[in-house]
Amino acid sequence: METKQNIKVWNWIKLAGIYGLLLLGLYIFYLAQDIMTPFLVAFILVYILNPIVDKIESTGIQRGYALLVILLGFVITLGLVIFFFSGAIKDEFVLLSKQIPEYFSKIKAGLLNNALTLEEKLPYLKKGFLQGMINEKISDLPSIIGPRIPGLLLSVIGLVTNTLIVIFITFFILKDGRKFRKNIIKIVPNKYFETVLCLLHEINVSVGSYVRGQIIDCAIVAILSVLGLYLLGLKYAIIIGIICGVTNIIPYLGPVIGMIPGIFVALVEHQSGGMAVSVVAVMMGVQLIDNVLISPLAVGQSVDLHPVVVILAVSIGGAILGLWGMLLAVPIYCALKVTFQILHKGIIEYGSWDAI
Amino acid sequence: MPKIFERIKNILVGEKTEIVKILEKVPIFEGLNLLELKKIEIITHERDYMDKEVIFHEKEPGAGMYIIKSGSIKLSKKADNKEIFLMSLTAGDFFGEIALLDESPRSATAASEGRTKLLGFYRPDFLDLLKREPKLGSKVLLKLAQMIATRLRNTTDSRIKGTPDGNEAKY
Repeated sequence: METKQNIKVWNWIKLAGIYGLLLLGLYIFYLAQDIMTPFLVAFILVYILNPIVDKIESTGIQRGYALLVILLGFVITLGLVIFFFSGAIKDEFVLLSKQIPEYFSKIKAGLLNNALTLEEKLPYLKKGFLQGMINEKISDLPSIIGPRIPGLLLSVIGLVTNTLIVIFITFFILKDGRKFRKNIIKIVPNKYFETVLCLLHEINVSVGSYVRGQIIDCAIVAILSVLGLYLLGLKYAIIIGIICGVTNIIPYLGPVIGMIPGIFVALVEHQSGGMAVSVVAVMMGVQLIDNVLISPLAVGQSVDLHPVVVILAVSIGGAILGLWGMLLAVPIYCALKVTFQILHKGIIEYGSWDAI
Repeated sequence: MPKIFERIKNILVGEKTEIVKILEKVPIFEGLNLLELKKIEIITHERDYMDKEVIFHEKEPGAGMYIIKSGSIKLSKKADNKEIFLMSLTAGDFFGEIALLDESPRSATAASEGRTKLLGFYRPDFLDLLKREPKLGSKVLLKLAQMIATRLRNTTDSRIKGTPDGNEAKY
């Protein structure tokens, strides 16, 4: 009886130990977050592209050639998108780059005005003190941006190298991913091998279907938002719509974040509260369609998560890793949930690891 | 002349590896060509076992089948706290194939006798193969189904005939 009790305790200790290791892994990930970005993007791309490669492979074409087909398709699609939409997007960017200095001077003028009235109302303030301070802190735009241009150039170069790294990693994971996985799990001891193999598979399925569902969902939300805002006549409808789609990846909080640029443009550019209200209405409409129609189809029952848990996970992720944390919170939570389910079943219910 | 063909074939599909030679003798991979056997080889895992190491326990959820590459395996079952020896398997034999179909508990305990090398072929990889390469996957699935059908027929036959102690019908 006592030994049985001991075994039970031991099983729980093992489970706790595994969780300790997992946490350590996440912590290392946290420390290395800066260099992780290209890998993460590559992983997301792998999750999106893998089913397509599999599909092509299932027709009898070898995987290497299937990948070439995908790569070509990717380049062609990108080319077509740039060809058809570059005009509209460029126009918006040019407009935006002309407007930003204007917004800037508008905001500055407003501040100066306020400072003037403040100085009149508060007689003990030195005349011109606040205005001087504002003028000193907020000089004109070029002199603020000027010193930062070398840094901007460097980050552009970084972006290009990172993109190449992402393409490189994506290609090789898609091509040799199975071999990598096989070699990695080779080191797992015999006793845990079956469990670990099933576990990795379940995590892969769960995270994969979540990521794919979310990406499809975001694309549709972006298209709907662009359409809605464009019909509304909002300036920069395309950019704002795309931002809405991208922020939609973050569950529950994303759509709210996505509304901010729209409302900002409506208030500053159109100077109309009515426009802002219509923007909010359009985006809420898009969210309604998304939640009722698209999301159940795209993300579906693939991940069975309670909203409260999701919000908690997203907030914690955001607090630890910022934007990446918010994006990764749900997939990581999915993986941990599946891990716990399988380990609990294996260790506690079946006691498969009893004999040491 | 045939040598040239042989060479071209070697370049295109590669040579028969040791693992392929083992796989082609396993009934459920019967009738597969070299290219298909190579695809199976990629998703099998080579495992090394020490003497008397347990591969899986009875009543544990199963994850896949094993093919013996070298060494031997002892299958046993527990009944009334006693271990009943079922059978011994040697190189080329396979066991645990029902676990390819579902997660049902293992019906016996398998342990190695002497240093043993096994090839593991697991359910997640098999299901993945069925999705990725339906043609190849369904060939394997058909063989597996036929094997189980034969076994079921034998069991039914021996039940009808009635074995003296009923042991035959159990397994």
